[in-house]
Amino acid sequence: MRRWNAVPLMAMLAVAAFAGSGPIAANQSQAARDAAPTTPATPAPAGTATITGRVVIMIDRQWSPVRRARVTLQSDTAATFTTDTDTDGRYRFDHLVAGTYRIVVDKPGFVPVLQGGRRAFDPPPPFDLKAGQSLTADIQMQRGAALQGRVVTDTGDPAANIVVSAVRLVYGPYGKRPSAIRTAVTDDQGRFRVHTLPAGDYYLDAAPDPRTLASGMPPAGDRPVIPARTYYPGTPRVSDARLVTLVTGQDAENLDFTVVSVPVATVNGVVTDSAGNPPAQVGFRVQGVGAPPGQVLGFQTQQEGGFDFRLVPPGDYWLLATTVSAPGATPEFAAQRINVAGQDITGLTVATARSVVVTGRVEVDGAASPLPPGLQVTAVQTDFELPTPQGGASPVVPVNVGVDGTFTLSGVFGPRVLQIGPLKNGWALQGVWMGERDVTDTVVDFKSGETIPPLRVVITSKTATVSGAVHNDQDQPIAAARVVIFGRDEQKWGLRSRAIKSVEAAADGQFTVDGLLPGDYFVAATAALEDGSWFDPEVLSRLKPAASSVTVTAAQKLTLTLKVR
Amino acid sequence: MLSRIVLVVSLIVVGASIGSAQGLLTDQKGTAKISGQVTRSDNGKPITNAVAQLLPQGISAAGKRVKVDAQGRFELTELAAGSYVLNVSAEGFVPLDAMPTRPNGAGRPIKLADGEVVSKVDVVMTPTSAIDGRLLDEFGDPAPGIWIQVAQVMLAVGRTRLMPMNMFEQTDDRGQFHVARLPAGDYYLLALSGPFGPPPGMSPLPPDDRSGFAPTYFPGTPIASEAKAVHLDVGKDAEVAFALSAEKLANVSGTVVDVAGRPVGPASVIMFQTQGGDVRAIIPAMTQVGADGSFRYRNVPAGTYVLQGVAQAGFGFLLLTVDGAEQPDLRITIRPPTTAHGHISFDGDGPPPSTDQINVTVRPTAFVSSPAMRGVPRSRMNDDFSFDLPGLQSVGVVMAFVPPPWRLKSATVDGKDVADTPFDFRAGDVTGLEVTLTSRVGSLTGNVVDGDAPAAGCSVIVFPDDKTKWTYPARLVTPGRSDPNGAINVGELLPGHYLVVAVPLLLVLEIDPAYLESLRSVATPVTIDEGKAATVALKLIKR
Repeated sequence: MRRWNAVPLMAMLAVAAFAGSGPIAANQSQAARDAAPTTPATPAPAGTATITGRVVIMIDRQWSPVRRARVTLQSDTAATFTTDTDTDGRYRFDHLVAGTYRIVVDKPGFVPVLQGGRRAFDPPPPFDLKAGQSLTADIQMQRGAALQGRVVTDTGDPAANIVVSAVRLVYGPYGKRPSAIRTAVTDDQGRFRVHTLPAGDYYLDAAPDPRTLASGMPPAGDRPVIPARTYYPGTPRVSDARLVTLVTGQDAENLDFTVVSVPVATVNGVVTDSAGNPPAQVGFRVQGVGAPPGQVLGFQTQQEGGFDFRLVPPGDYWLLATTVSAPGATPEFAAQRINVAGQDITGLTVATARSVVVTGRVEVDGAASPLPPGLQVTAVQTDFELPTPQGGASPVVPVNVGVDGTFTLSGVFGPRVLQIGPLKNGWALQGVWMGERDVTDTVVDFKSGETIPPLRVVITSKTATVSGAVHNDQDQPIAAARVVIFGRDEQKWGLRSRAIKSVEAAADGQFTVDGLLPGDYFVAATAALEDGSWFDPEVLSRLKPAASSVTVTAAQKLTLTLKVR
Repeated sequence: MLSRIVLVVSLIVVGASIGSAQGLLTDQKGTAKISGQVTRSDNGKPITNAVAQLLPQGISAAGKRVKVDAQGRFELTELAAGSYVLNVSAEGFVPLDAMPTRPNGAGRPIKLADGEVVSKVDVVMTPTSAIDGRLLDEFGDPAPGIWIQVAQVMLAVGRTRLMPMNMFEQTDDRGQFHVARLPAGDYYLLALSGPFGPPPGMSPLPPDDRSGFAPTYFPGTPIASEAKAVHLDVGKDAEVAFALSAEKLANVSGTVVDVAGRPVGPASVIMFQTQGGDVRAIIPAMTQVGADGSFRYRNVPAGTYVLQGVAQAGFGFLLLTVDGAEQPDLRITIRPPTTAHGHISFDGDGPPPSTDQINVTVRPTAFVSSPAMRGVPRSRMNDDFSFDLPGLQSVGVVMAFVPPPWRLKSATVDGKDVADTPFDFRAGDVTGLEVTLTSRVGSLTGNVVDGDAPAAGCSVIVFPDDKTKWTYPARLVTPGRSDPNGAINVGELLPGHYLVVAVPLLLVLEIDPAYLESLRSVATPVTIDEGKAATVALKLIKR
């Protein structure tokens, strides 16, 4: 088995602090470039600005170079560039066009020193680069922390080839969920070392490689067991997991624990289409009930009309199937709940059912103004993700809205939320009605054979804009603060709520939030906020006391100066 | 009746596979039974984490898999009659099916009759070893994020070369690595970075061609021939530390073009380091080329290289020296493959093989100028034994795959030998490739002893007395192997004077004139005559 140690799951995670910027004389850093020349990953752009600097770490009260670190220059507008520091820790980007940039530094064992109130998992701050400017930016790093230990099975044997992850609860499209920050794979003796971690609180979990789960063979024995996802110090429940607090550069050792073993069962069977025929193309997926779409236990497409999942731990699952009767035909779907409790479920027959067709029209509220261009409508899956058959199309694709506002969604099946986009330049969604029923931001379960009344999607440009600047205590504008505008009605707080909007203020402190429906809002600014956390009612409750209260009306343009303390 | 089989496992390469899933689904119940015990080779204690698996051979019976009990015992029951091969695997031990040698009958089919009970199938397994290491940069600081592979010496295109044999491991933040599951033996350690890391797609990481280092071999050299092996004893781990060799870097880019200079794409470019004009370690740096034919390697360490371009349209290569300066305008010129047209003659009695039993091909004799990742060309045989051999793109010698008793006698182009003498088939199409097959062959039989006992499973090398026939590919050098009773039988030898020697089992027969010369003094001369079997009595030569 191939081993990949310390796989950074999120490429952007090694976030660098940007340590001061200002114009300097050009070409200060020509020294020591021989050993590791800077080699941009893409052809040089045509600009005239330059960024140079050193990546350094404090060792024995002296700044020492961080050699051969990867420096990535990200831009919201221009291309991304990558270079490596030389043996003196220097890097250089030439020929840059003016724009807003961020710098990320990555080297195993090193994490950025956090400055300006930023926290470990915030994106690095943006800065502006002007045409012809020569900017110097030294970046301070420090030692990353590590989690080290050994995983054994409940028989005391080493648990080899287990993926051990340093986990944080992270905000995502499905709320706050455990997310692996960095991972390692246990060696033949069950040992692991998850490193390059910023200081912070982590859960530690151990789980089999998902690729093994999808296609692996059950272990030998009458009642085969496999390790199940287990949190340190040995519990299957994240609520019982123990937080490990790491200070900067700490090696937390001897984090030994036993992985819980669960009996695995085989789930297999065959599929037919609604006419009882074997389909031409199939796709199967097993997904835990309650697990967000995309987090699947197994996926199969080439089973000749049948499915065979052999490593299914106990639990409630969706068994999902997509069939296509003939190439190009409209797919059919099945979503069947199964409960697995260590016993094989074999010989299932799953029949797929026809999907439904949903038609509708996008209307503009009030005036007969034309629709904004490029509108697309999507029926987003909320409870599970229907599989894509081999060689087939994805079951969920955005459809274009016609010039007359009409649209047709075919192949709709299962619980969905209707979404429309892109809504820019002050446009906002007013509401979605299915016949007389208001289904705005509401999950609708589309069942086979149903006749769906036409949808009415109302968008409006009669929205308000709130803009302004974020200042500190000294009334100076500060860069990259997080501005959150949220409805005063707490009933409307929640995931995907249209009553909550957030932007990051620019390098000069300016911000603009548009597309606000008329109503009562709080406006808050804070130095930094974890991505997506502004949908969390708890976070909003914390922001509320220091927030400004505003009431906006249609087409109003409001200007505010916000303070961060 | 098979009552006791002792399987001794001492071992060489890793790569266990859990057997086919198919056999486990169709559950045909039978009445035969096999049982045994799995123990350690070093102390005889039972192995308690082993899995025994019985794989049916050529019968539609179900396979079986069981875990051993706390005494290392296993019992496989309800087996249908037929032939099976036993495999046993356990974490920390060399799996049975990883043994190319299978000494003492391991891996041989076990035949079961209905109701037969085979007991005491005792399996002795050898513990694996590991290498724990620490990698430093040129300043003595830990070198994190560097890929580690272990390599062994393998014969490839006429010479021994270092061939990586495991998956990639990566050094951690302290520069430490751990390569486990290695059978006892000698291993070379490679520290790879930049373009020589895992190819994109093999690694879940974003392609990381960051490097300031040459591919570095233990104990810290960038030169393949100066690599030293790490010796692993059975079940013993070794600890090593070495430093990477820092090099100047340069970007290397260019275009894959056809002979008219037009870009060729899509294509693949594979880059190998060379030493003395040849590839000594098979460490590929691969890159895919789009429709515009352009390729680019970042951060290529100073050194000598061959870049091979492979496209639908053909093959080309470029020798390159990198010294820290950018090389932006390279051209790899793809030449279309050539075709050889020829005819087969038969020298001998008896019916010739049918046309579909014959494949004439060209075997490359130079690594650098041959596509490293291409299959062997196949001939298209006509009813009159004329043939076309398309897809040629290397310098090489002609070979013929034919059923016994036939064997390639000679191959010529314009009267010149191309069976033993390399010929440049890239230069253009060839007509008049004359291939002669002969059935006027002899054979060699006999036995090998080690002291007073028969020497089972040893290697036998039959090589011509004439040392001018020892250069690669040395088609008259013929390997053989003794059976469990020490008997040998090497067939289809061209008549002539030979030397024969028996040595402990060789995984690869090195066709190295110096090695053959060293065997001359201990080899037994033998003359092979047409249609006859010469007989020899050999002693196992151990050194």
